[in-house]
Amino acid sequence: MRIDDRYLLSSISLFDQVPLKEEEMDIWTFGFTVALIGMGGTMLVLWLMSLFILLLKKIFPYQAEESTAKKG
Amino acid sequence: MESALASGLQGLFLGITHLGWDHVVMIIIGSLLLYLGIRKGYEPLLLLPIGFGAILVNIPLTGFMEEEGFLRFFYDIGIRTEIFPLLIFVGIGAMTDFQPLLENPKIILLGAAGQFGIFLTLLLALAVGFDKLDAVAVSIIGACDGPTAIYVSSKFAPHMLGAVSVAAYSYMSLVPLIQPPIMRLLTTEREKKIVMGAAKRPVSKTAKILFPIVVTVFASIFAPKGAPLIGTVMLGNLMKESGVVDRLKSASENEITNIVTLLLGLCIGATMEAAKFLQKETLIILVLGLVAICLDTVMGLLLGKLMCLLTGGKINPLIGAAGISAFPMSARVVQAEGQKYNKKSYLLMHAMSANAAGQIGSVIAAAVMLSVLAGMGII
Repeated sequence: MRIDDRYLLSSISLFDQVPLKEEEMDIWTFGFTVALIGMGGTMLVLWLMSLFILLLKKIFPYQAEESTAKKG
Repeated sequence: MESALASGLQGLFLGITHLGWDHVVMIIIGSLLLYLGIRKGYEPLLLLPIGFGAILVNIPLTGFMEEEGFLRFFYDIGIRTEIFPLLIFVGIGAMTDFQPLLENPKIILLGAAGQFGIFLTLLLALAVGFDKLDAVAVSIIGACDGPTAIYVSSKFAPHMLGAVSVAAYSYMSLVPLIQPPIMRLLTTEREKKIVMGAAKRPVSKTAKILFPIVVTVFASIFAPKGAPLIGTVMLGNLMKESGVVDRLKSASENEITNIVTLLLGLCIGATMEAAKFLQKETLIILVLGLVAICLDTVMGLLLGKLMCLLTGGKINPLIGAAGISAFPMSARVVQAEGQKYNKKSYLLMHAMSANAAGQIGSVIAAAVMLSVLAGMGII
């Protein structure tokens, strides 16, 4: 079984593709595409989120806020 | 006069004459859910109304789910429109403290691995013959997150809503029984004994307030179809962290969540009509739901082992099992399991980080799945 590249691309909404018609796709192409992009996408989004958290903590560190409170 | 008496009496016995064996079985199943909720304490807030709803709807001729029926009304306005699960999400967001996750953001990856059971179960569901959208609804049990399961299954497979919801909530409450054997099997004695250092790294209030906003914008751009799920959780969390809308926060985590939980449970129970529920399909859904949660645990543990390897043994792989959405139950299971092997090992805070990641992870996984389906033109 070979997953058609068009399905992989069309499943990533980021790349504004024209959606493929459902009847074109067999269940295994569907299943493996959703599983691969789903797992990869979830991992990617959460990893990027962890970077955002680190960035937030860097920009707004706890100590800076604490010292401001003391001054006030 | 006699015929009037006869027809009057007949009206009294109509219920009995219409009562079939399947109704009786469903009333027993409803009672079993009540038993599990009341006597065993398994997710009583949901299992009690679900069980009672299942009993109500299986009493013949009551018409609860017919047009203008009492439960049909709530089903139409709350579940068909997906409003109920979303309102619950606002409450969950208002109740959840993401501080452990913000303190230790690397752990967030465990929350992703803890959702892989969803996608692997999708393949299994397709293999046993479910069609595409039904398979999606079954697999979402692996999110180990009731409202997410309800949101997705009510959208794509409303005929399976009862079975999927019952499976999701039952297995969530059975996490303390399901996870430990898998944890013991997949980790070595040495790994179980790893002591993790303190994770306490204070986070500023500004970062805590910005977190839900950033997550909403960022995750919704990547997975727009899941924006309602992400947005509602994060709205609740923003209300909590901002500290300026205590009344709204309090209403979300108490009154709104309580009322919606009651109606949601009743409506789910009301979908458990004998003709729809007593099918081979339901049994398969229950089995696949269990498999999904086991696979979540397995994948979380495997990523935990990988992280342990990559960090030179600084991460105890057991915390990987907490990368699911059953909060804080799964974290407690990890702590208890770790303590069995090393009394000096306190994994709770680390496991809480993974568990909070699992909460976000389940919503993100569902959102990603919906966006993938939309991209493929399936929905």
